[in-house]
Amino acid sequence: MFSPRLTRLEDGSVILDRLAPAFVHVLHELPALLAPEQPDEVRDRLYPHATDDEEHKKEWERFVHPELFALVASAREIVMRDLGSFRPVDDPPHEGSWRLEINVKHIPGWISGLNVARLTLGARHEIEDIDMAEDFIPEEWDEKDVAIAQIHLLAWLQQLLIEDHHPMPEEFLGRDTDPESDPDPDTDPEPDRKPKPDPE
Amino acid sequence: MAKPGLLEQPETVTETRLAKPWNVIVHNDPITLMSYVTMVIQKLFGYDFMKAYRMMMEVHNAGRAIVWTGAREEAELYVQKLHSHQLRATMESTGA
Repeated sequence: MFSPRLTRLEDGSVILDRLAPAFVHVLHELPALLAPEQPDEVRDRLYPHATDDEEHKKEWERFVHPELFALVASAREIVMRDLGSFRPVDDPPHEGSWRLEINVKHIPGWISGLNVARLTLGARHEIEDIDMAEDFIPEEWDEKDVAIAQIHLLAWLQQLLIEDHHPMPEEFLGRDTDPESDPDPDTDPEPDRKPKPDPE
Repeated sequence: MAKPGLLEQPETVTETRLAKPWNVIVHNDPITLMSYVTMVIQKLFGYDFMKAYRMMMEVHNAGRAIVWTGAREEAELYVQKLHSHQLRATMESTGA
């Protein structure tokens, strides 16, 4: 039985090891899931519009979509580069499991790439809320069920990286995060009117 | 030669019409992780964790949430950034 493990190196890079062979197959699918050639339903999900106005849609396609294409291509390149060193472990007791090292600078690209891959699977298979129920185990697996399982596996990795790269503030750890129970007056549900600069 | 007559000074009224603000809206989708939505809202708008978390929960429960309101050009920029993180986002004029 493989028990996946994430180890953070001193520079913030992470090593994922003890990955089961089933997981390996899903990770090797990533380049294809991030490829630019996708059916219309995937493109519509990954490259949406900001309004219903036809003129605005044309402008959005002309000025915004090329940048979105470039971002997905960049995430794909990062994922493919790291998958190049993805290899099985020879040493006991975890021989047969796989090991993946993600450079600290690549983590945002991986988080984004995993998101794109999951959305691609979701759009291809028209997956809805009801399909994502965690306790759903099909008796007979069809293509859609396999896609849902892949989405959950990739979510596991994405969640690990998010928690590692963007941890929840300590004061919220172990706290009931139900907004109704939050007594803090500074957490007004109304959005701020003044934006703060994007740290990127 | 005729003397120029005095013309009545025309009354000038200046009316300033402020553009209606625009709402930036994030929509729910069944795939994107709640933690990812919270992270992106926090990062793009500079909100604290709990504020971003509340907005994410509104998206999750109500299907959509207004995450920012302001000038059209800035709203477009925010929608573009949300799209670059694959969130389903649109903008609507509050005067519509």
